[in-house]
Amino acid sequence: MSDTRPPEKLTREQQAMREIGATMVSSRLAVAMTVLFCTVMVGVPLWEEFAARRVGRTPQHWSVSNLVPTGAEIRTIVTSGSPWQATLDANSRIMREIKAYEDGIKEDSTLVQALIPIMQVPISGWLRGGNEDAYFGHDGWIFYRRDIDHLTGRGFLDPVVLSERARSGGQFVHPPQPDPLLAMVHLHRQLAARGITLVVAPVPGKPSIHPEMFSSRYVDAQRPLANPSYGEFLTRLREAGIQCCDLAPVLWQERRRLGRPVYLATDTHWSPEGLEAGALAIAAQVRLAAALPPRPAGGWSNVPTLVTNVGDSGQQLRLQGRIAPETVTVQSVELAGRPWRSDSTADVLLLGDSFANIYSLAGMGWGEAGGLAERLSLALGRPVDAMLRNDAGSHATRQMLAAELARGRDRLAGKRVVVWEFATRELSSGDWKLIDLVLGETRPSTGLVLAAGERIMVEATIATISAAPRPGSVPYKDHLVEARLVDLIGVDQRLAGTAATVVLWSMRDNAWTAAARWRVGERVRLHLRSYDEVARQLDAINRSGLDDGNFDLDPLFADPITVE
Amino acid sequence: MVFSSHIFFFYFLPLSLLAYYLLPRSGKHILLTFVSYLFYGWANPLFVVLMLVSSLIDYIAGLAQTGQFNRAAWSKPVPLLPPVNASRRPARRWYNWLLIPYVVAWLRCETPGRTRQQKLALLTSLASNLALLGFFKYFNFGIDSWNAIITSAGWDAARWDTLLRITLPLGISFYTFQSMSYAIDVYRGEARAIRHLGDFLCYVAMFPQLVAGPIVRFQDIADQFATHRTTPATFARGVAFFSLGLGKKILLANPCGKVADTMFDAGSVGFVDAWQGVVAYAFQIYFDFSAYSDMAIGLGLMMGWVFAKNFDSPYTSKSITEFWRRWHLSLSTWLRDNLYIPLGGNKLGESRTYINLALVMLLGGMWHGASWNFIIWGAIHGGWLGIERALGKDSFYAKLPAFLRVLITFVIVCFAWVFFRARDLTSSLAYCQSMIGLGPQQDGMDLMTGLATQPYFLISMAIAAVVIWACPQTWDFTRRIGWGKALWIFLILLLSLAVMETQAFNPFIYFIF
Repeated sequence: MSDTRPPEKLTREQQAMREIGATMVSSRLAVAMTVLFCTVMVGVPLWEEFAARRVGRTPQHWSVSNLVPTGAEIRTIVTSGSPWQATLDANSRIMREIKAYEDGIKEDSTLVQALIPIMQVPISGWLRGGNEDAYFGHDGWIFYRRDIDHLTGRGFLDPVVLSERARSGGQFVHPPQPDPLLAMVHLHRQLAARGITLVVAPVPGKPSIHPEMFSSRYVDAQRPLANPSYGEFLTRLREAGIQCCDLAPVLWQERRRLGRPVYLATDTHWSPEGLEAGALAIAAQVRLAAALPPRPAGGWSNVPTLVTNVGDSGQQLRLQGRIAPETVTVQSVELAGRPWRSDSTADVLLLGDSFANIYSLAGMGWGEAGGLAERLSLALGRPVDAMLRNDAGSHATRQMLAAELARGRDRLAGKRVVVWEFATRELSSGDWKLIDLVLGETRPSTGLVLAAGERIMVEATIATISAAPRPGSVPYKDHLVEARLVDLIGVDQRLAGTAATVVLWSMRDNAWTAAARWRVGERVRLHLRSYDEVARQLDAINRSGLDDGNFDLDPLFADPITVE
Repeated sequence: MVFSSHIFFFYFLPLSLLAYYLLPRSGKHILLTFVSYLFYGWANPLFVVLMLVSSLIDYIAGLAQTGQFNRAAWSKPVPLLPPVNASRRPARRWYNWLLIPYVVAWLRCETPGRTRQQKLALLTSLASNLALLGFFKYFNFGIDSWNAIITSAGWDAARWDTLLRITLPLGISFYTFQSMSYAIDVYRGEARAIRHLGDFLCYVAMFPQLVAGPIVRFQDIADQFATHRTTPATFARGVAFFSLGLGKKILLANPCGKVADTMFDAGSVGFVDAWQGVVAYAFQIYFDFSAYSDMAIGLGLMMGWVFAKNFDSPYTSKSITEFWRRWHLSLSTWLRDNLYIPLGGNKLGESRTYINLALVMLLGGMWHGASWNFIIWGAIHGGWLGIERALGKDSFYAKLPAFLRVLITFVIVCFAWVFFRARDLTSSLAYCQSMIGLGPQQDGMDLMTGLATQPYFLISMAIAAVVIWACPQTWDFTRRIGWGKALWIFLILLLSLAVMETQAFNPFIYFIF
């Protein structure tokens, strides 16, 4: 650093002025560059306008009305007793709207949608760059980033990590409860109070069992990879008296025994063989955990079915047709020619995530009736009750259970064992919120109720709506959101209520639906029907909930009516 | 809003340029102010109020210093205050080493050509800007540090476990420094105060350099309010700057950043991976930050404004002293003019020079953020500046072959970057251990190799190295543009836009400073 500036020396700005003045470019070229640059800038929004108008749609970029404070917000700021809080609330809403607007424009862009597969070919296909959430391994294997991060990251029970995570979160996201042990002990105590045994079953991620498919330095690996805190986690679980079925050594052994992979190459999840080994190990642990009374054999049969598909990680890369599909044999479980069904009177309840849903939930593309619940049921020789939901294994199924209990439906009645299956990556990144399981009273819904088979068309205002993930940012191609509707007006019938909680598709086949773009305050038209009609198909789909603890409204299923 | 985003390039920029060119000069400044506030408020509308308040304080401070609150004064041009040549320093008493007594003593001591009111106006500007910066930047750090000390002393009852976490307003370090520089320049008689509020707000908020610089001193841009103009040549050069900047960000900084993130977020890394990670970070931060500066300069040129060079091929430096003549020039110049020289520079003896150097670098580190890591980063640089000064031109270090000196400088810079990038002090030290082969071992550490050795990342890093050490920097490359170069520039622009569209949100590193 020099502290003297000779008077004759030019300042940086004077040098810059002189430098810019000395630019050498011909007038024709300068004009050509200007015109070309402006054409690129302006051409894209004009094209979007044209493309949307051609199909009779209003382009997303005109949806700017929500980006300013509403009259009601201004009135609240001026008249309320706490104008600062009202200002913060309005500001927070506008920030959410800005983010949604920006995402919406990009997601709505035909140019972007056309470019993604084109650009993914050189970046992901040829240069193996992957994307934000999926990494390429060897021989066409694809890995989910969060699985890798869990193994390479710091110990999830490291006090510094726990403290950092507890302070994390984001502009619109609450910080998580980071300690999985707290949540497990909390659940264990609540279940023990009702005489129910908890069995925890963490499923290792693909790189734990097949690390050599990501890095050749693991060709001679002798044991599954684990996060540095995993050993301590197992020890402390056992010290707390919680039964744990550690599936990592089971799957490692199975892989060596079979001499072939127990995970899918293009998917985050295990293969049918891996699942079978997991189901048998969990069944053995359940038998150890509780002396279950004998039940008559179910008479179930195995039906092998060949399924060919590109896995979730492959689809995340959006390489469209450039990832080779895999074929697996799914062992579907049937009873007298009918697919296996979960039984709410069973004494074993499985809470599971996508590792339980795969081969069971048709929407995942890997067949039906051959998932973890089905295979566990077969291994135990007894019916099994299942509450499954893709993603967020750290809390999603406990929340489902808590919601049912809060509505007065005792899903835990008659249960002896609860198996809680989740992906081990959740230990590092999940929200292990403490959820109280309190049996509420059966109360009539305070909102709109529809009987089975009843269909109505309504117009309503969105009071709140949960956020939809950006397509490609989650390892699932379908997603549901929940919304609270107010000021319902029946289009063709008289309504019993004026408010409703609805569940809607926000993403199908990695593309946003109209509901993903809905905003608070927007007036929308929908077809409504009872959620119970579709619960069996939709309960397992990952969703973002309203999480406001309001169970007074029974949910309905909604199909938006697109109005242009 | 981020330059490398769909909304900026395809909507904000064309609409802003269109409106800008449709308006006369006086309208242009108002429009530029309006779109700059929109640009800033896009991240958080409430932060706009903060910037406005900060700007108004400095605007008033400028008027107060030049006596503009008198109606009669408005009939004459704003005077340029005489230069402050000789300023008596406060008496050398022990309590004058404390901030408040020093400030009081400074206010009371006589400064030829400056009244107490003028000093008070300057002080108000400095105090308000530094208070803003201090509160938003150091509140969380202060609470965390206090709690850490209290916990380690076993006085848990004195912990302050507040739920309040302050969100750092984007670019606050940049615009407060820029805003302060106005009051300082007016006080020193290096620039005239500005009467037109719109012009002043425009100077502080100008969107091309608002969020991540370059920090523009008022005296350097004041004349451009009357003289700025665009020609096809400057617009074309602006296009070139912007396109190359976008390419540096999207095609080089982002892939290097992915490698760096993987290594730095890991629990432990091996020797080779650690070096790959830190070199990737060195590349990332250079391409990310210099890309922003290039785009800012390019956008400025498209609207007729000229901003000075902010980077001058820093990794070709043969010493840390030279590095600081090439890295983040607007900040190092600001610190030199407003801190190092007022502290006495090298005029007060050898030992005082070292103290001044160390102090400036420590404060430079703290400017970046509230963490011990930034302070250590500043200390490493300050320490090396001192060592190089002590060794002088005759040292063995200065006599090494040029490429070895470049290599040694780069290695020192890389070690310092570890503290800049790692999440805390413990992680920094663990990472440095890995860089000398003594890092802790972890099951999954070799998984990182699987990612870092993918062709996409290796090729990106190789190209980055070639651009750093073998290609001309943007100012030189764009000085003479022919059809061939123009074709390259547009290919880079189109490729960058195409890759940008496939990526998620990719903010600039310096947004958080």
